[in-house]
Order: sequence, then C-alpha cells, then structure tokens
Amino acid sequence: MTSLRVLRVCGRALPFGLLALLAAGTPLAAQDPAAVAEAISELTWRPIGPANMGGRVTDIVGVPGDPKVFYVGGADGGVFRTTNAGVTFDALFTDQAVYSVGALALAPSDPNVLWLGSGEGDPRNSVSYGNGVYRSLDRGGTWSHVGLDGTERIKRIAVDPRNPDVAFVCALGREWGPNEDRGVFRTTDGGRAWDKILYVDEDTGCSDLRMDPSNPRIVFAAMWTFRRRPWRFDDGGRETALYRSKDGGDTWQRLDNGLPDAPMARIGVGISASHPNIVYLITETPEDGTLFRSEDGGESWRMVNDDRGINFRPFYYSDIRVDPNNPNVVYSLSGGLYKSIDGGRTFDRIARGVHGDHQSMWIDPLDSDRVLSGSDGGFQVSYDAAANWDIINNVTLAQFYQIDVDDQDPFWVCGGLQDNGNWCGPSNSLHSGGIYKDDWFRISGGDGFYSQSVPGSPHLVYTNLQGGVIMLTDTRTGVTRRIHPYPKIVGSAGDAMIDHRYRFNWDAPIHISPHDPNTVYWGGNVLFKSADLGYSWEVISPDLTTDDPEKQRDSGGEIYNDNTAAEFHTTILTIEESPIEAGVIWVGTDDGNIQITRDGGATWTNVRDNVRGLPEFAWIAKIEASSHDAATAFVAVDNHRLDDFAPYVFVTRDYGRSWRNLAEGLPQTDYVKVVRQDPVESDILYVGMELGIYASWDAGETWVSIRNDLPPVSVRDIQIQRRDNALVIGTHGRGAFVLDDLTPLQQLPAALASGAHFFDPRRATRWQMANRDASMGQRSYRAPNPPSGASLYFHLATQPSGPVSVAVADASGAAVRDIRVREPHVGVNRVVWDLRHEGPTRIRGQDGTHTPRGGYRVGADARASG
Amino acid sequence: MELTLRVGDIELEQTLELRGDPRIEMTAQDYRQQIGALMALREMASDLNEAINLVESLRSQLESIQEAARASRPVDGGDLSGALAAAIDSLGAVSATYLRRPPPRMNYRQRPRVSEEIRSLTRAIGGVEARPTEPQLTRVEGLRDESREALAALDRVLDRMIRPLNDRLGEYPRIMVPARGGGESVSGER
Repeated sequence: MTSLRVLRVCGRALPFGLLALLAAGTPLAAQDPAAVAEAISELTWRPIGPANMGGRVTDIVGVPGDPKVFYVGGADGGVFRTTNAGVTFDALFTDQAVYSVGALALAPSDPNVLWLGSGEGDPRNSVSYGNGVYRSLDRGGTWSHVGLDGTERIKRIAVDPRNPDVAFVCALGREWGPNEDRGVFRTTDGGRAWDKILYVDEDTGCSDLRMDPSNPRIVFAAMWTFRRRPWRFDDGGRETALYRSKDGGDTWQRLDNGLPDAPMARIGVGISASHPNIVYLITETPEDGTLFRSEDGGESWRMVNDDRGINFRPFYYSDIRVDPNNPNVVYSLSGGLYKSIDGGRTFDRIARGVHGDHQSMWIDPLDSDRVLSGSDGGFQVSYDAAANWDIINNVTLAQFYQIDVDDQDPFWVCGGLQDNGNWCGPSNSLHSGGIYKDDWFRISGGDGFYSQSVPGSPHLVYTNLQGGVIMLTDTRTGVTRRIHPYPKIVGSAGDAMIDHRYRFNWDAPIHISPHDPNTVYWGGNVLFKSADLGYSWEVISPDLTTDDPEKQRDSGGEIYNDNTAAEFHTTILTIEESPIEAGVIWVGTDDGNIQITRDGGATWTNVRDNVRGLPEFAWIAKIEASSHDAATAFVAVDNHRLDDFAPYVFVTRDYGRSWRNLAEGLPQTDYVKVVRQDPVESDILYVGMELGIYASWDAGETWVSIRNDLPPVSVRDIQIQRRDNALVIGTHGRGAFVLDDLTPLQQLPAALASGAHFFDPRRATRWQMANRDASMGQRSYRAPNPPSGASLYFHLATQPSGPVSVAVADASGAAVRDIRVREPHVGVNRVVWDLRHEGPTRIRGQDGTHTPRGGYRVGADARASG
Repeated sequence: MELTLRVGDIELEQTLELRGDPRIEMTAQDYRQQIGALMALREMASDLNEAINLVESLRSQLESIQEAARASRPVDGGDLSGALAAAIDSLGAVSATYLRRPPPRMNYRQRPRVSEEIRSLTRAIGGVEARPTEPQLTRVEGLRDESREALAALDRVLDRMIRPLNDRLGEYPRIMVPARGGGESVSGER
C-alpha cells in the first residue's frame, strides 16, 4: 500500500492543505462549546491534599451496631462512606449539581436509604449553598434530587423509624436574604411531594429538628431568625422558638412554659431516646440561661445551666446530643466539646486532643461508647464514650481560601485553610509512594489565607490569619514573626472595627511585587508597603474603601456580640501590581471600590463608576492584572453576600476607564470567586466559581467547563506555576488540585483546526524518586505524584482506524522506544513515556515487559559537563 | 529527544527536552556510562530471554511428540521415547542450571541464575541517578561471560540431542529449532 504523503510540521498535521490553514485561523469561539468540552474531557485533575487536618464536617452518621459503616458529610466536600471502619473511604455525591452537605440521615428501618439535605446549615461567613434534598436507595451509590430546591441550606433531616419514605426536613433557608422556602417540610412518599408544615416568616428558618424515636408523631422543631450581611450577622430574636407537634407535623405548638420570655439565639434540641420525655434545649439568652431541660416531653422547662461557654458561638453551634442510653449524659457541640453526666447541670470540656468547632455527632444507640464526631478539623471516632479519639485523616476535605505556588523545583503549593492555618505541600514529593499526609507542613495557625513565598527565597513565606494578622515565617527554622504595621490586638479582636486605626478583612490580601521580591503589599483599609521583610511599613494610599461607619459596628445581634473578624468590613480584599508596568497597582474592596494607582501609590483613582453592571457595594473578590498588557485587568466580583448569586467578571483594557462584562457565557445562577489570565495565551481565561471552574479561549466571550473529574466543589483560587506551565486550584472542600500541563489548553485552537495535533511537550526530568517510608497499608492518605517521565499530549479529530503510537529517538535518530497508545480516542489524549528504552526481548507467557524497574533509562543532558 | 506521533499515515514530530535531576550532579560521561552498561545488560537479557523462549518451545514440541508416541506404535526400535525424555531433561537442566531459577521460582530459596543476576544488576545501575560503580561495570563483563557460557550449554544440547532427533522422528512432525537471534531451521542442519 502506498503511504499517503502528508504535510508534516512540528506538532501539527495539515492533511487538507490550505483548507486546514484557513481553519487554523478560526477563533475557538466559533467552535461548539460542547465540542470543546468533549475534546478536553479526558484531562484530569491531580489531587495533592492536604488531608492532615480534615476540613469542616457538617454531619456524620453511622449504622447502629455496625462499626464498619459510616458516612461523613463535608461542608463543601460531598459525602464519604467507609465500609471498613475508616481504613478507606469512597467519595460519593460527586456528580450532582451542588456539593455542600448540610444533613445526612439514614432511614432507621432500611439502612440502604440515605437522605441528604444540601447546603450547610451552620451559616458562617464562608459557606457554600445547596439546592434541596437528595435521596439514595443504595447507600449513597446513586442519588435522586427530590425537591425543596429553594431551601439553600438544610440543617437536619429526621426519617420516620417505621417508614423510609417519610421524612421531615429542617430547612434554614437563604443565609443572605429572605425567602419563603424555609421552615419544616414533610414528605410521605420518598420526596415526590412535600408539605411545608411549619413556617414562621421569611427571615426565620429551622435550626434543629428531633423526632421521638418511640413515637414518631412527636416532633420538636427549633425555629430561628437569622440574617447575615457582609458587615454583620444577627442571631435570634423573639421569633426564635421551639415548637412541638404531637400529630406527625400536622399541627404545632410553640413551647414557652419555663423558657425565657426574652429573645433567644439559635436553638438546638436533643431528645433522650431512652426516656423520650426528657428533652434539652440549648441557646443563648441575654440573662436567662443557656441550657434548658424538660422532663415532661416539652410541656414545661427549667434552666439547668447558664454557662455561655458551653455554647460559645450560638449561631455556629447550638447543638446538643443526648446519650441514647442515658438521659443524663449530654454533649454540647461548641468551640470545644463538652460533656455532662448530670443532666446538664455541669459540663466538662473533653476531646482536647481533637480540633474544636464541633458541628456534628452520632452516638451508636446500641453502643453508647461508640461516638462519631465532626468538626472544623475533620472527623473522629471514639470507642470509650468520647474519652479518647481516633482522628481519621485519610480523606481531603481541606478548605482553601487562597492558594499560591513557589519557585522550587518541583514547585510547592501553599495556602490558607478554614480554621486550619496555612500549609505548604509539594506538587511532587519525589518519593515513590506519592504525596503523603506528612509531606504537608503547617506554617502558621488561625484561619489561614494568603501564603506567599518570596521568589528566590522560598523558605520565607508571608501568611496571615483572620482580621489582619500578618506573619513572615522562615520555614527552615519555624521562626514566625508577626509583622503587623500597627501592633494592636487584631484578628478575632472582640471589638468592632469602628474605633480601630486600621481595618482588615477576614481574608486580608498579601501581594508580593512582581518587580521586586523584597517588596510586599498588605491590604487593610489603606494599602501598606514594606521593602524590608515587614520590619517597617509605609502607607501608600488613603482609605480606599467607602469607610461607611454603619458597616463597622458590632456583629452578633441583640443577644450577644461576636467580633471574630468574619464580618469586618469596608476593607481591602485584593491587591495586584501589574507584572508589566511597575507602580500600576490595583486594589479591590469588599464594599465595591476598584482603585488604581499608576504611580506607585502617590495618586489613586476609584474606577468603580466606570464599570457598567457592577452592583453597588459588591465584593471585589479578585483582580487579575494582565501579564500581557499593563492597561488590562480582570475583575471577579462575588456579590452573593448581598443575596445576589449572579456571576460578574469584568475586563478593562485602558487602565479602568472602560469595562466589559465577560460573564454572560457563564452559568447565571452561580457566583465567581476568581479570574486568571493564561500567561502564554492572552485570550485564555480561567474562572473559579462556587461550583466549579471554567475556561474561555476568546477572552471571555464564551466559556467551557473544565471541571472534568473534579466534583462541583468551590474553586476559591487559581494560580499558574509559569515555569512548569501547571494550573493549581485551591478548592474550599477538597484541597488542592493540579492540572499538570496547560499546553493542551493553550494550543487547543490549533489542535481543533487539525486532523491530528501533537502538543509541544513540557520538559521532562529524570527525577530520582526515593522510598522513604515503611509499608503504610490503605489507612494512610497518599496523593499521586505526576506521572514519572514525560507526559505527551496529542489531539485526534476523529477516531483512528488503526494503531496510534509515539516513537522516541535520540538526537542521532537512533530508536529508543515505540509506545503503542492504548485506546486512543477523539479529543486530547495523554501518553506517558517513562523515559526508558525499549526493554529486552520478552519471555513468552510472562506478564508485562519483563523490564526491571529502573532499567534502561535514557540519558539526560548533564547539568554539569566534564 | 525526537518524538514522532503516528496516526495511520500521519506523522507528527516534536522535540522533547529531557534533563537530569537538578539535585544530582551527573556529567554527560556519567550518563553515557550508565546507558552503555544498561544497553549491554539489555542485550544479554534479550539473548537469555530468547534462549528461555527457545527452551520452552522445544520442550513443548518434544512433549507433544512424546505424547503422540505413547499413543501409537513405537518407531526407531522403540527407544525414541527415551531419547525424547532425555532431551527434555537436558533442556530443563540447562535452563535450571544456567538460565533462570526453575519453578517454583522462590527467590532466596533458590540460588540466582544468570537471568536473575542481570535483572538485579540492571536495577542497581538503572534505578538511580548515578554513574555505575567500577565493580558494577566489571560485573557487567562477568555476566557477559556467564551468559555466553549459558548459551553455549544450550547450544550443546541443541547440537547433540535436539537436532539429531529430527532424523529419528519418522512420521512425527519435525522439531522446529529456531536459531537463536532470528531465523529457524527444521532439519538437523545448522
């Protein structure tokens, strides 16, 4: 057969001559987005951890009497199931429309039936959202969305112990605005139809719900008035109250006999399974107590404990559990975990070796010694009634706020986590087992945010914790200097910002100048600059915010103050200096200002009013100064805190004088967290959203999801390691992921215009991999390193009829290896060459190549000659 | 490195930059020494694996003839079966003595043969980013001698026992004796 002669160019075949040349000039925007998505669908995200600290767990449920099986609900991390007592876990609920879990409930009469309420029910400042109720009939393997779409967040589900199709849903409703889809809902047919059976008003939702296991007609529901705004939250009030139904939810009675005649904060309720007439209520009141107990099924109550410490932040906790076999053993889930053995009169703080901020607990009704717990620090198991705990940290639920990459080789990834400090870990551990839990290390504590290493000095890392505590750590020694420009108690200071000299956001920004690694910027209400590693600071701006004093007052509401910094407002959120033009600095604030200086801070211009379509007072989440053009910048606006879930992305190409909206092609019911521009191809943009990640090849005209195997997790930050051309994302629920080589995305337009395309390969390195640990079994966390060798990408426009192979030759043309591509497919393919020569002739009947590991490696260019 | 992607009749080329581990000092000469040793070991491994394949092929053929001979009238005065059995035993002995550990191949419960030695040395040289040691290079040469010895032992069995058998097989199929390194012969002629 005569070979078809084809035009051969480096990396691209043009079998159709001029036609193909013309096609190559077609913008990708003209392509069908679905075709683009299909072309890149096999590109996979590589998780790298960390798992050390878990991540916030909102619910945890077990199977009575079966210690091998339990389920974990991640605040923004889906569901994990173990069937071997925590040795391994299966990630469930990864392919649904949302990913935040508020409540899990196993049907007592059928453990195959698992109910899930989506949307976290503990309405802190950083939560994601849900879209109603899901149900699985196969232990979480598959799910059906069964309604209550508008509830946004669900705290509790109770399933009738006699019938897996009868369930009560405790829906908190919208966090940032009023809505009617809140209260208590009931289904009797597995979720096909719902009745709203308890409703107070559009500001009052359900914070807890308990069913009498001996008489499911008796249901207690706590109704709670709560509203969060960017600058404050208000917990409780006079409509916050406990209700009881004795007829399966048809009618309800507000309970008040013995309860305070005063506004109450969020309410939690617990019922004794062994003595159902004993019921507990936990809340906070101005003067009248914290824990209340009824011994007559809720008819009357008496205060048994007035220690506010057992319910440290009512809006976040207010959660009580009663030992199912002893009505006087009570647990209060709070900043610490508290246990009473005398009916609530006294509490001891327990679980001191476990991360605090407890959000969930399950006690085995057949063995009260077995307790499952979930907190901001993952999940834990006790086998001795909460005296001692086994922290199970082999899944990643880590919640990054920000992410960064350094310039080590291989590069490291650093970032800050919700309530778990700032951490760094390797993108490639260089040991053969992968990236282990202990490859990650903590730099500093608190809620972690920015973790930026100094270029050229990667051991020096700037980090911060909430509310303006900036630090510089030398990771070689662990020396961490606090370098605040104005040392006063900041962070979770306890007082309102109005009288502070400077104000800092919960997530205040650090930015190292791209022109000088010794220069760092730090954002409060003004912009600070240091050129000496934080030993001195210069204020280089006026107050860049609206400085509205009404948004700087105490948070918490009428019952108590709560000034953790989570509501500190009128502050700077994002800083970006142009990598093209020194002195061009962009600043975005949490109250809608977009400021620019072109003279290093001498003069500032607020360009907010030039942005048509920018909502007033919107959260300017991220600004991306273009690395291609000094006048160009991109702005990601996250307005969900004003109850607006629409996406906003804008671009200016004239230093802010005019702007274009780029968000029209994005999903219109999800908000944007971050936008980044590709450093190689200026028309390629990446956007992280609350539920995934998108890319545009036409500067924002059209967008394509590049989630692929990533669950619909919140993508809070995106960084590109330029030397390695790798995309790194920090998710708020599943840790960090790496897309190891951006070349297939950068060259996709050329690939789609060709019959076949061989992408430029990234430099390959003969890394010496070490084996540094003993056998670890399956319980220990490990994430994959990048494939060892050279990852080679190519694109096929049509399914090949014959074999596809990659031949490797050395510089002299001598054959080194011929790699047959297994199962080539339409779209972008990857084949990994392990940098080895062809092995020896095989022994027939033996599996594999019979090439010993480590054998016949290809030589590399020596780093040093001679 | 030069890469060629082949999709049907389309060939696309790329150049791959390959570098050594930047943490490790290795000169170009170091790499050449390493790859040279590994290529020598690969050739030895190929020769031995081909010999192993040949032994297995021959034993299979011989056993088939032996089976057929048991089921029919004896030829060649009745001692063909004995010759077949002796040839099978000799092949097994060569393999077990020289080529590789015999079944059940239980590692340190059996002394290593030349195949295992080659594999071990390959791993030692190729599994690290370092130039081979002098003893390793010396051992490569030693293994070359051991390989030759093993293959010579096999050749002796082929010459003295296997090929002559073809003249005695009568109506039975001739033994296919592939020449090591390619080609094959049917007759007793080499």
